[in-house]
Amino acid sequence: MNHSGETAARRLSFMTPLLLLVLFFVLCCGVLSCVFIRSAAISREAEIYNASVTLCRSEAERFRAGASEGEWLRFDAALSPCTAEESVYTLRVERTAAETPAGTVETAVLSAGATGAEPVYSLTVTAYRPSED
Amino acid sequence: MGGKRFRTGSVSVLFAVIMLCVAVLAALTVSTATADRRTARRYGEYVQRLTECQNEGQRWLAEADAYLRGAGELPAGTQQNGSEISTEITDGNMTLTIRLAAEGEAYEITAWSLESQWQPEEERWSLWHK
Repeated sequence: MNHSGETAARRLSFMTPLLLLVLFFVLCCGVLSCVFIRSAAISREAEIYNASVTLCRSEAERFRAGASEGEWLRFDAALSPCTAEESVYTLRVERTAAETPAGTVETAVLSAGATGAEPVYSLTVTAYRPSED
Repeated sequence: MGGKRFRTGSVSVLFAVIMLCVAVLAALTVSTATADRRTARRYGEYVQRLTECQNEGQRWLAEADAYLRGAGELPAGTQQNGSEISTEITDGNMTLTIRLAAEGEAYEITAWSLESQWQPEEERWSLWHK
């Protein structure tokens, strides 16, 4: 008479270990997925930092050569100059100058980072410009 | 009597092997990503030291130019040998050597050389320990 109840109980006891196994598997997959996502974030952070250092170093050389212009410079993913709409990285140049007895010492503070985010790298570069006379 | 019992042993082994492989991959991924970030930061520090050394050189150049034009004194740490004035600027393991050939009030930069000395890291563990 209680045949259907016994069958259901038998099925439950049969499926429980399998369900627990699948649940454990899903939990492990979730944890490992978080690890992979965190790794991707760290890689992206390193990529942005490397690009910022490269852009600052390049602009520092241009500044010393006297070829640096503008305050906001924008670059695409290939570190080529581009428009604001296409920019992936942004470099800001803040210039100051101090007179010396024989010329001018110009200083530029370069700060770079991903567009729309805070700068992650900053570089201060100095260049001496002798006076003509 | 009882029905055929479903064996979970083989499924458990399969799941365990899959989890182990994916866990190893995840560990390698994290390790690689953190190594990339560490390398990037070291490169940034290197560029900072390099630029600061160059900046010191530019400031020295301003003082040396003022000295040659008679508008200042010989900068500190400068050697003068006849018409040649030179200096060495050291920042950590980097050394910037600058030499100017003075021609009256004008000058020509004859050397602007930046060298860095390699300093081996402290040996923490050596496989072939002597």
